[in-house]
Amino acid sequence: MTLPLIILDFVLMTAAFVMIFFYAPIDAVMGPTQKIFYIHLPGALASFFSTFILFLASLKYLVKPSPQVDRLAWAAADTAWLFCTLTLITGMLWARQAWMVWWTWDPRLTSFLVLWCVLSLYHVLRRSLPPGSLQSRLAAVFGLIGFLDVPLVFLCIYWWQSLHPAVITSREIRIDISMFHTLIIAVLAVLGLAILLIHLRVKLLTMESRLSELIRIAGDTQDLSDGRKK
Amino acid sequence: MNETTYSDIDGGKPWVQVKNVSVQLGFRHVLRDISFDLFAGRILTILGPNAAGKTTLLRTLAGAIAPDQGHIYYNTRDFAPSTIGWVGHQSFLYDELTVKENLRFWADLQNVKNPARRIEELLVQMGLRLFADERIDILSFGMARRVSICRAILSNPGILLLDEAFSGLDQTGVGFLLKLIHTYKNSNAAVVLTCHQVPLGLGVATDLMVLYKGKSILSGPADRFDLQAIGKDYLSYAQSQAGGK
Amino acid sequence: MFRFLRNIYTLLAKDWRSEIRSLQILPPAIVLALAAIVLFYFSKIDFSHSPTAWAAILWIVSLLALVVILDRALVTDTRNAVLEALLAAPVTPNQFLFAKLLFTGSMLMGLQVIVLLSLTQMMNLTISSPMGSIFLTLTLTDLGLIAMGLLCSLIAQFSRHRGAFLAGFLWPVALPLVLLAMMAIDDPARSENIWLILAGFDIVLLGISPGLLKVIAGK
Repeated sequence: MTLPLIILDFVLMTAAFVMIFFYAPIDAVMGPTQKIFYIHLPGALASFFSTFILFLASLKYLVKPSPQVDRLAWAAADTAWLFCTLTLITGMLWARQAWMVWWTWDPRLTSFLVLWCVLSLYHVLRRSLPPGSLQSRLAAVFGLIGFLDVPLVFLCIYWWQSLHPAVITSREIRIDISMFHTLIIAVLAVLGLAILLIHLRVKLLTMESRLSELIRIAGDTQDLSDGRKK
Repeated sequence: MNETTYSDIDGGKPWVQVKNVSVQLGFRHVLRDISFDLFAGRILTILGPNAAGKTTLLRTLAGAIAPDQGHIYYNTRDFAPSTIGWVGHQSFLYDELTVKENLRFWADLQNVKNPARRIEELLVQMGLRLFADERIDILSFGMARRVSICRAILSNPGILLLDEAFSGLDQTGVGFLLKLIHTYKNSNAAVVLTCHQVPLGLGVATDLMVLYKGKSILSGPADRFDLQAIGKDYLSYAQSQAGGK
Repeated sequence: MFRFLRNIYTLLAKDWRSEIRSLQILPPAIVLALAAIVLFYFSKIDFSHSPTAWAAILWIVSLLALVVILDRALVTDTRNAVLEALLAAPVTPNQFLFAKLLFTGSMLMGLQVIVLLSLTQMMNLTISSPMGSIFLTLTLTDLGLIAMGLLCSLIAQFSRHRGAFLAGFLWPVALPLVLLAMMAIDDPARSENIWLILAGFDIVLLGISPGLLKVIAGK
């Protein structure tokens, strides 16, 4: 499954970059800087997607613990953190150009920063505990609590007056149609990348745990042969 | 505790029935397919090297861990705290509170009748009367161990679980505990104990179990086995018996 | 029901007895809160233009104090594995959480009253909102904060970082609640809706806490 995923995502990524630089027109107001948007929005969606996977895997682990689900949660958290960081950085670049500041305490930005903190702490928690059930349990609980923040991110948009541009609303699409096409392909490419990264990370974690299991079995065998020698 | 059944106490039925219990901690199988019956007035000694799963088995019996597979049936009216007394590796006591306050706290939670009298009685029995108003954090390990034994038997439990209860106790303490175990046996309660002092464990045992890597490799009434051979090297004995079968 | 209340009383009495004897939570929390207020006073920031500056100071100080309170609130129970023995038999996770909620909640609210008094008396800040709505906002926010905080505190107890990282665990997840509380104080016209959201959060958090406590503390 790995190779087809890599090929598919490579094709989508290439298409997305070609469309971003050669197909989509340059924005009349913001100029070429607007092209950040084709990475920024898909990145944000990919981080939400990965966080959602983290939430589902944490929930599943709490209901029925299994090493596979635990690895999926960790892989999703890694990927979510990566895309969250990417979104924050591209967002800051955008903000510098659009609003002349690197950062503004807009509710959506603030909430995203909170999500980034939660995801970072998830890693701190994972690394502060020895591998095993305690680590998985606590991480699952924290993944669940951390996810409760995400609905508030959305609530904030409706509740607070937001500086953030509402590019896509339910009523109309306020961008050029070629820009929209590019955005769709970019979203698919980045989501594909998120899925690929989660998949590869799960594989890596599985191999790590198999390796430690083999080392343990080797130790046990050693014990037995030592016992026989006695 | 999942799937616990309750029925009336009946001399013929076992107090505790452990059926095919497996426990996984993390992704490690700590107990595999353990089954045994525990009858009233019996003392089960569990022997095993470090990391064999003894403590996990006792924690499972105490209800702190739910088995992943298999069931534990308690033949009592109610799986109430009063049916199980548990002495663990740690003391289960609050350092900031005094001996008496700790015991009173647990007595209130366990709904012990006439707690003040019961606590006084236990303090005398375990040689702790002079320490009644001392805080736990200034007591020696052995004294704290005696207090945790008092805590476990506050409500006269029908089942007593002793996890390495002899360790840290001086000769008088060991004497108190042995007397206690015999009293329990005579009053038709069941005792499960783990210990590394093999002669001590064998001395009180009516039933034996040897755990090795989470599996029960020897189990049954003590008089069925060669206790001398077990006393010398229980692991080799158990392995030879298992091989013989 | 009688048993439930009796167990909660026993747990609460034990917590207060232990606190009165060791004085490990309240004095440091109060000193920290007062130190923060003194710093705000001497920072020479002009708070007179901002009608809700008191609320911002109150929440900053509350969050600081909350870390101290929560850090110590579960230490006695996890030391010597008392919590494991408690949950194995005589006490349900509900009872334990409810008792801890009352213990830490009463401390936090007491501290917030002290902070409010200090702000009006020492810093001459005027509080225009009605006291009833302030206390309702405080109660609803404190409930959610403590329910979440107790879980974070328990997680911190088991992790290697312990109390040092409690602040890290607590603040990002506590921030949305505190922001909602600030909004409720800032804009009285919206406060009823925000109370509903806060209450919703409290119900969700209190609902899942006992189950999560059992997961964290045991198997």
